[in-house]
Amino acid sequence: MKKKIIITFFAWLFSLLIFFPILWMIITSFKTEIDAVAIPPLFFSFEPTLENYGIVQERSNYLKFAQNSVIISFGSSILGLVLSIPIAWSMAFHPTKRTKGTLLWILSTKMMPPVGVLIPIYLIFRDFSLLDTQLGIVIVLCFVNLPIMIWLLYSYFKEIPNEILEAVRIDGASTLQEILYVLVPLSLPGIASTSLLCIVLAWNEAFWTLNLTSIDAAPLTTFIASYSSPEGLFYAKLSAASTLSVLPVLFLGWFTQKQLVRGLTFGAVK
Amino acid sequence: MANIKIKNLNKYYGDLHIIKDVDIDIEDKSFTVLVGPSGSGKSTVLRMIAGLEEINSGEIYIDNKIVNNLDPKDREIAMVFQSYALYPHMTVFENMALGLKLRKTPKDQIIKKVNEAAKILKLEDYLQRLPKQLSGGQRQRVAIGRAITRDPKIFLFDEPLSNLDAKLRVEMRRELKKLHEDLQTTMIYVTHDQTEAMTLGTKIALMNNGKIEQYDTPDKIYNNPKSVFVADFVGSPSMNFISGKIINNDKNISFLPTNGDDNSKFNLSDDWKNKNNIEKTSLLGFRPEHIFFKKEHAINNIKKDYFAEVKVIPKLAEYVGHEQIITFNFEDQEILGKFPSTVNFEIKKEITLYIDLNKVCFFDEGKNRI
Ligand SMILES: Nc1ncnc2c1ncn2[C@@H]1O[C@H](COP(=O)(O)OP(=O)(O)OP(=O)(O)O)[C@@H](O)[C@H]1O
Ligand SMILES: [Mg+2]
Repeated sequence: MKKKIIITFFAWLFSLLIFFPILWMIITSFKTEIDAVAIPPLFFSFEPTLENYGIVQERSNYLKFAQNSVIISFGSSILGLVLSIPIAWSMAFHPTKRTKGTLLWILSTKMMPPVGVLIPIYLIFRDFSLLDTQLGIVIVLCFVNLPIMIWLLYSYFKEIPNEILEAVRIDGASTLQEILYVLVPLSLPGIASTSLLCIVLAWNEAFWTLNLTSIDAAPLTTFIASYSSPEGLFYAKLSAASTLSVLPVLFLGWFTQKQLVRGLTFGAVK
Repeated sequence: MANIKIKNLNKYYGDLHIIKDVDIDIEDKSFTVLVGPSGSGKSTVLRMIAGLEEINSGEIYIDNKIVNNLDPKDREIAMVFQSYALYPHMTVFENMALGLKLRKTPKDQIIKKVNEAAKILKLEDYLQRLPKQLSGGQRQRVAIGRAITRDPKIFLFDEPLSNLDAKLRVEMRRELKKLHEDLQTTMIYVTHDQTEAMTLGTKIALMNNGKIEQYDTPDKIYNNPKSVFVADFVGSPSMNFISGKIINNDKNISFLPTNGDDNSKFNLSDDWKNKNNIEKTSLLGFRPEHIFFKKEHAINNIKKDYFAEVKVIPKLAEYVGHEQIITFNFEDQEILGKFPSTVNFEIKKEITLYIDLNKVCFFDEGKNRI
């Protein structure tokens, strides 16, 4: 009993610690710029104001950025799934002696700093007229997240007995039917959590989106960035813009947390 | 309905030679059992027939058509796995219907076929359940049901009964035999249980270390084993082997056990004198049920009164219901005998046994039958 209280206490403590920056951002978004930089920091002893949200809405079209974010994050995740499911399937169920090496190589691409390939990608995008297009950024983010998707799906697929897939193959399924009728339904929790993770990662991605978009395809990250300026006070407005940007994913995470937890602990429970 | 021809089949895993020149002719409507110890390559052969495993060299023909490069789905086979491999997210009905659905069978046909199979397998009350809501025996039935709804040309079974308890296993064994009679389809069945092999098979292929040791009817396998391995593998308890040598002089021919003397030798009939290579014998084999403990029994039961008298000392008695297995000491070697449990053997007291010499087998140093 006592142990349980202690565990609960620490659980709350750490959750609050992690949540605090977000809370601080939300509080700040309701302050005036002067209050936002006040020292000592003001917790609740300020006049809350919606002024920042008004300014933000006036200065830029939030909805357009949000729409781009949705298209980019969902688009890249769906494209990623279409590619990574067959890739992970072949690696999990038809391994060759090079499969392990290939997996490591795929992951190793994540260790390279993205800025290393910025110039070539930028030039390719320019030549193919993909700069500042939704399609272009969807493709880039899909490839950025692909290694993680393949690794996650590979480990989920490994949990599925090969014999079930062999059974459906003997039952008359083509490869595509095998994946659609058996593999996908059986690894649905894993696939769902993989896609959620990738949606969140793509939503927050700020290197490629900032470098490859400007107006037409710019997502919320660009929107936030436009509020940080080298001079003057901008914390409160920046906080308001950020709050608006994280709100959608916060809700998405909230509603799907059960699914996420189940997926990420898939296999551990069994 | 199909016959299968397997020619010079070989399989390697890296440098490991797993399947070595396997040759089998499987007749239409036969029930062929692949039996052998663990790791002998039975599953691998079966999976190669199914198309799940690549063939390194050799050919497999189904109905005289080569199928080496055919996908499993195009081979018109059905397979029942040891783990059942049911689709966990589908109901029993859906499990049995999927094969038909994938072959674009009309809906009313599917319902009819699944219900038919469910009736045969007594699964009618479970059609809407998920596999996890079934017992092991029921899951087994679903796996078989999934195979029969499709009317395949060939059924493949990979140790389908090994996860069931002893009683259910015997029951399902009988069901399978009945199923084979009813369907009249070619079936290939993998097991490592020799009793299962003997009771089910119309033909048995005994595998050892990637090779076929003997491919024959159960009767031939039992009574005419080609090697010590085959003789030892079938029968329970297995065959007795006595090491020794043949003494063949002008007057008579006899088998002298190692450490034995004139009193313990087996006098053989003159028929053996002219048999090829008989002098190469190093092992003599006979089954525990071909031993008698009373001379009258021997005389009544053995053809031509042709038997050997040996002096042995009972060491151990094992009771198995209506029978008992007695271990005897004979010239520092062991002999097992099977007798009715009504007989009383006094442990450590020498007695005489009568061994049916019509049924003995001779083996050479290479453990092959002479
Ligand atoms: N993927 C693999 N890589 C290397 N060796 C393998 C592989 N699969 C099987 N083997 C080897 O091939 C041999 C035959 O295996 P197989 O599964 O056919 O045996 P089995 O006769 O079915 O045995 P059991 O009765 O235990 O099922 C075994 O020695 C096994 O170790
Ligand atoms: Mg096996």
